[in-house]
Amino acid sequence: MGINHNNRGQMEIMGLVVIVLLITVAIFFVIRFVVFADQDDHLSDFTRTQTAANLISAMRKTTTECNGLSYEELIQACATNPYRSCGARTVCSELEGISEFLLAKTLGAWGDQDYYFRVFNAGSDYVEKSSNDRCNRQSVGALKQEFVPSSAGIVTIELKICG
Amino acid sequence: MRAKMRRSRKGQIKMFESIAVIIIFFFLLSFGFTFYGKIQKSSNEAKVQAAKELDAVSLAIKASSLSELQCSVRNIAEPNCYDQYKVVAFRQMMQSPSPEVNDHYFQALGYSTIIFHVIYPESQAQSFDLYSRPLSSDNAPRYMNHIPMVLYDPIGKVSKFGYLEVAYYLS
Repeated sequence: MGINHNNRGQMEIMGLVVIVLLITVAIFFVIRFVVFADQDDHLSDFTRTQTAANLISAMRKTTTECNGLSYEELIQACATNPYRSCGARTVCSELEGISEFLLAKTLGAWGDQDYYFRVFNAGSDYVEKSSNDRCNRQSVGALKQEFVPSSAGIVTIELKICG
Repeated sequence: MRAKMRRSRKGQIKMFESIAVIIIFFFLLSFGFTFYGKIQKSSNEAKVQAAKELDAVSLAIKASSLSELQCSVRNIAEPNCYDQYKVVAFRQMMQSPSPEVNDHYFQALGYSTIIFHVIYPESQAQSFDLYSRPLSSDNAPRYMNHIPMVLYDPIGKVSKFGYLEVAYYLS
């Protein structure tokens, strides 16, 4: 008689254990697929990379007010002879001013797009601009680089749009 | 007699126990279905949202590469560049478009507005509409995309910096 009662108790405990296990597995699935769901944000990554590529491409083609040089020629002039004059300024300070203006009027004006922009070659930085401290050389973001050949070496234009 | 009554009461308790277990089981089942439905609904909404964003991006890419406006050198189109004279001709055509032209651009661009903003040189800053077919009012929900471009004057050989503002209206 006592053994029968004991058996029934064991079976009930086994039932409880199965229920607890099922609930645990369910909670695990909820946490995995709802709380830590993969954020598929490929489209905005693509958009940011495209914006960076389009911006550099358009900037390079732009005719500046510095002796009618294009932005790309201005970079070459700055890399080759930094002290060459452009009105009251040097070509390098003109390059810096135009870069700042174009970035502020585009990425800066469109909002919620932090950026880090740099024009450099192996020896020196010609322009280094950042919308704020959050977006810098080490930050993660959509990075686009283009290269401008010059007699002072290859100059790199780098634009990163942080997420 | 007493033993019979005790057995009957035991049976009733067992029956209540079974009913309680069934009620709890169905409660958990309905809770599970509700939860699953909610997750499914939010995931579907996210998919619809992503599809609309994709449409908006495709429209922006299409607008930036309209062959009738793009710069070309020896028949090779240049990216991120609109020819100033092609833009003038296009705007004239769009001021009083024929029904065929209207249909053609509506099929290609749908309910959207496309504006070109020239921002450099500062002295020549201006904005002009290229295509304007908003859905109903300015308050209609829409996706905005900006594409940096230049406006090239092939005679003066000057490229002005600007951007294309493409608003895609949700229909």
